[in-house]
Amino acid sequence: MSAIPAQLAPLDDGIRQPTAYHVRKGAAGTAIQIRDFKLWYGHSQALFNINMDIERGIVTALIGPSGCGKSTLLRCFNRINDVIDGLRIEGSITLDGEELFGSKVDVISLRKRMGMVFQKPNPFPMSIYENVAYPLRIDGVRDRRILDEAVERALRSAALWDEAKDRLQDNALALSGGQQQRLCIARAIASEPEVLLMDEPCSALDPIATQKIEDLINKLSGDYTIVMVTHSMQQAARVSVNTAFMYLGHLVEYGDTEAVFTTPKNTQTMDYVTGRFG
Amino acid sequence: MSTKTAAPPVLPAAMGKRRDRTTRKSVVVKDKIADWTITIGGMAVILAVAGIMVFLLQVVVPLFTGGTVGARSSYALPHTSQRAVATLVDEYKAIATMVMADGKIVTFHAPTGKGLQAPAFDFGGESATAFGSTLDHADVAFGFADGSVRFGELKMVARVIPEVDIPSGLTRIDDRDSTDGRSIYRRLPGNQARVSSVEVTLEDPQNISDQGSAIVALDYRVSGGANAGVKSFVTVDAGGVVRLTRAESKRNMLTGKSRTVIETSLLPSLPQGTQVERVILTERADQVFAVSGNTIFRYDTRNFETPVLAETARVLPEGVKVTAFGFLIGEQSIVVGGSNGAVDVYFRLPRPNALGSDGYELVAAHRLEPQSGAVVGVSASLRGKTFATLDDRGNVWLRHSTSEQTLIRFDRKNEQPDTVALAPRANGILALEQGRAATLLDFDVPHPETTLATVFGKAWYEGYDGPTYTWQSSSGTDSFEPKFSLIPLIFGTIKATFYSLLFAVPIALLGAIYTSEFLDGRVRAVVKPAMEMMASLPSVVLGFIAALILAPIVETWIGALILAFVLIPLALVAGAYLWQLLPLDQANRLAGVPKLGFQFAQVAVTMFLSYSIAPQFETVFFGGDFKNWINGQSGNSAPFLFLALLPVSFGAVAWIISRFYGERIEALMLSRDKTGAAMLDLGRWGVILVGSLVLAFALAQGLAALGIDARGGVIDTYVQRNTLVVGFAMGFAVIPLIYTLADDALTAVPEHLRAASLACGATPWQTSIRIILPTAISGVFAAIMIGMGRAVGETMIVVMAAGNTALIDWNLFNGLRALSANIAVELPEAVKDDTLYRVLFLAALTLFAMTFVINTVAEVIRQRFRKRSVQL
Repeated sequence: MSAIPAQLAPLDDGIRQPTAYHVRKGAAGTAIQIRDFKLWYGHSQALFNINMDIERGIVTALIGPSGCGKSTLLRCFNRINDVIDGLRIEGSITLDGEELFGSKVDVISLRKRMGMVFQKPNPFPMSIYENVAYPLRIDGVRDRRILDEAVERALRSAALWDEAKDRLQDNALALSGGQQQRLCIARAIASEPEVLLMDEPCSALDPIATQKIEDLINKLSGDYTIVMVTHSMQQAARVSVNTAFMYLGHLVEYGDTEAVFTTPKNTQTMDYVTGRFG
Repeated sequence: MSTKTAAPPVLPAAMGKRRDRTTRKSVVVKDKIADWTITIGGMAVILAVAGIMVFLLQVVVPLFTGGTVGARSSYALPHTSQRAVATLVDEYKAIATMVMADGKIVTFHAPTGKGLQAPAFDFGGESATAFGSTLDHADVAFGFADGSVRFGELKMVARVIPEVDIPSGLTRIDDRDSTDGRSIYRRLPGNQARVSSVEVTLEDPQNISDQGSAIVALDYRVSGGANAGVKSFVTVDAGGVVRLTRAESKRNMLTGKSRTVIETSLLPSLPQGTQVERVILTERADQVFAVSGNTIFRYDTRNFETPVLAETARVLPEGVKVTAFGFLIGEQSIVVGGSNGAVDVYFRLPRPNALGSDGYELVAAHRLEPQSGAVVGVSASLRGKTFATLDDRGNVWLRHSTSEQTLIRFDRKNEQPDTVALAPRANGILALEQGRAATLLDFDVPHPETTLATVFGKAWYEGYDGPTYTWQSSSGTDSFEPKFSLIPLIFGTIKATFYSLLFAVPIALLGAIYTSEFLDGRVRAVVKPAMEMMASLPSVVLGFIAALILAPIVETWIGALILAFVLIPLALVAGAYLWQLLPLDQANRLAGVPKLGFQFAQVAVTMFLSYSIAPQFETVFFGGDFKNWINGQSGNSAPFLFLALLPVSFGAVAWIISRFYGERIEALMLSRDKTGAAMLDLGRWGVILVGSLVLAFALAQGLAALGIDARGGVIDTYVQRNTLVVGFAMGFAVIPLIYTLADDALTAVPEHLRAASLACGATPWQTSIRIILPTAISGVFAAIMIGMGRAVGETMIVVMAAGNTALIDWNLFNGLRALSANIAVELPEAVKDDTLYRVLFLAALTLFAMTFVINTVAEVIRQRFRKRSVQL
């Protein structure tokens, strides 16, 4: 893949930009640990015995054909699935050793530790500034100085500052699709979460916007543990360090991205990454 | 799949029968039919609505158009040599009569002037120097040069006879009327005829003036029934002496003999050189008005023995004379016509610093359009406040006192006017020219009292201190003037709407937020239809329950109710803070049904608590009894101010604490564990609560010391059927509507916004308030507007529970009369095409306009919302 040299090229805003390559070398332990995780929607089981360790500070890609359960799994990490009626789980997921599903878990503070970016850009119908400031506002931050700083930092990190700094009070819906998605990333990182969950963040975008988001993901990895669901194998190959291949609710293969794409152990993985099905 | 069989695919067309690709005829016809049907249906709906509008307008418009002038007939009069002292026309405009100073009576057929024989008053060759009569001219009095007065009766008699009783040999006058020389026979539908004639009687002379001084002015009233008649009259003699005389006849029921007691009272003398030209008195002989030049001298004769000259009112500028003077029916309005053409209507009203020594004052309530010449004649209708004025150039104008409008201008040039007589039903004018010629003008002025100004503005009615908005369509007495201001009704509608929305909107919106954002989808699927079923409760049932069950309960337990309004929110909030103290696993375990159960129990317990301690509450806050307190009979204003200021001071204290200590408390909370933070939170709330109690108490005492009192404003005298009860009942009707539309609007907010907010770590409440509600705000607003439209048009609840008092006050505990209720209550009483009937249609039109505007605004907002939601 030709993306690797581009990632190694230093970015011009001077912020330390660990590349996926660097981060893999420096990966420091497990952020999310999944053990014997099963999930049912009503009577139909969507996830079967998932066991997986997601490493801290790198990009992990979840790939697989539609309906394989990769988004469901992602949405379990911040329990955004909770609102679905008839959802039932078994097994455990821990974040830094803390159980996510348990009676002692405060879901709200759990979600504050994880930013999430959705498939479709979903800025709130308010100003760009207020979109980014939202996670701080709900935490009761009212100090204008702190908010201004956080908004600027998040927008710079999301590579949107230059485009948006003169129109912070404009409605976010006036931005283009790619800009909206970067705004959503800025919103997700504004409260400085530990984990960034991305659910097919580029599927609604054109190739140029996709390129920008991918650059951004590369830029952000290292600072954040990023878990990304993607349909595009090229994208997984370009940005992720580890890749998990899921199929029909099972985790089929999980490992180093290069290994998964070049020397898969499983024939289903082989078929999928070579484009035989999916 | 092998290459050698790769022949070009065979198309169906090549295989023989070609599929028909044209649209079949029947489809085209059906499409056309559907097209036409839908178009016609749509147009019909629009036409129907437009038709209703046109119908309403067509009924309403005559209220504001003046009268229509009908036939006009002029004729010369037989043998007239002198001025008439009185002229009158009968009810049916069949017969007209002039009374001459020598007692002769000239009677003629009103439409044609054909002379009739009539009896005469026999004055024995004398000529009357003054004339006075009751308003209907049935009882007359004549004053003579020798100071004597003679009374008589002048009756316009009309009786209906069957056609067979009509004597033969009548002379035909016109196509309706014929005469036997004395009476007019007018054919009526149903083989009947009305016979109109004039009858007179005359009593013996009575000497009034001791010195035999000539009587120059005279007025006469008769009151009381057949067994105890009172004749009152006032005379002014040439010497300027004003006398008030009462002749009271009492019949002994046992002997059948009647005894007449005559008392005379000499009224205080007027300033030297005052020439009294006219004098009038009221039927109860308690007021006498004498006119000289531009001045009215008003005597207060309530105390017959000691009459006083109460007021000397200059009603016209210097040099201008009062040339016409008289009462309108009811004797509350005095018409003053001036030599400069002015026509003013005066009321005798109590005033704080009245000019009159009896606390009353003549007030120029209406100044009507002046006429071009001196006003020489006034003739009042016996049916309303319509009167005719005649100026010295012969112009006769028909006017209405209350509406101040000139209804008909009957302008005649260069004729010498004499007198004018308005037909009793105010549908014709007889104008005489020096007794030589007469003109009868027929007209129809069905609604003289309504103008846009009297219906939508203030009008000054008799007996009122000033112009008011008043609705009072009927009363017991003949002289009653219906008052048709729609403003109290519009106000009533707005008041009912305002208070019921005040109650309904928070509940409906919070309910909608709860079901759309918090409730499990399966529960919502049950709750929402149940709420919608509430909307299908007939409003007459709601009104019935409100009036007969709710109103007495609210009245009995008003203290408990007020207390519950304070305590229930307080208890729920306290419960929420206490809930935070629960360990997380307990809280999560109990989050569903048990939590809801706790909340219900909490509400029930609080209600019971309110009920139990209501007497103590009333004792502490309202001096023992709320209704006495609210009347201002007990207690002071501080307790209510305290309750009213509580939310405000709570907000203020909360703001101050978060402004100055907020960050420190937040930091402190972060350093504690969950239970510790919850304790801190509870503590903060407790401090705010106590602080706000103290602040509200201090403010209330301060404001009460400054004399500020809510009583007399939004709260005042308690009436059983009041706005509070209407608010509850109407809330029941409106809540489901607002709730279901608002719930739809909230649910329509795209799921991805909800997910985005939750993923940011927002609580469901934060998500609802900061994201969902603002996004859905136009839909929610439209829901409120539609609820408002319903409340404005709601009828049965306000009819039954509102007490139907057409008042303009914001008092929550008083009733109201809404436009819709007014129509429902009064339309059965209204006679088709009379003023009330048309005013009720105007009320309907106003209501239509109000709901139309509200619904249009709601729809426009909803359209905008739809456009915006497409973007998301």
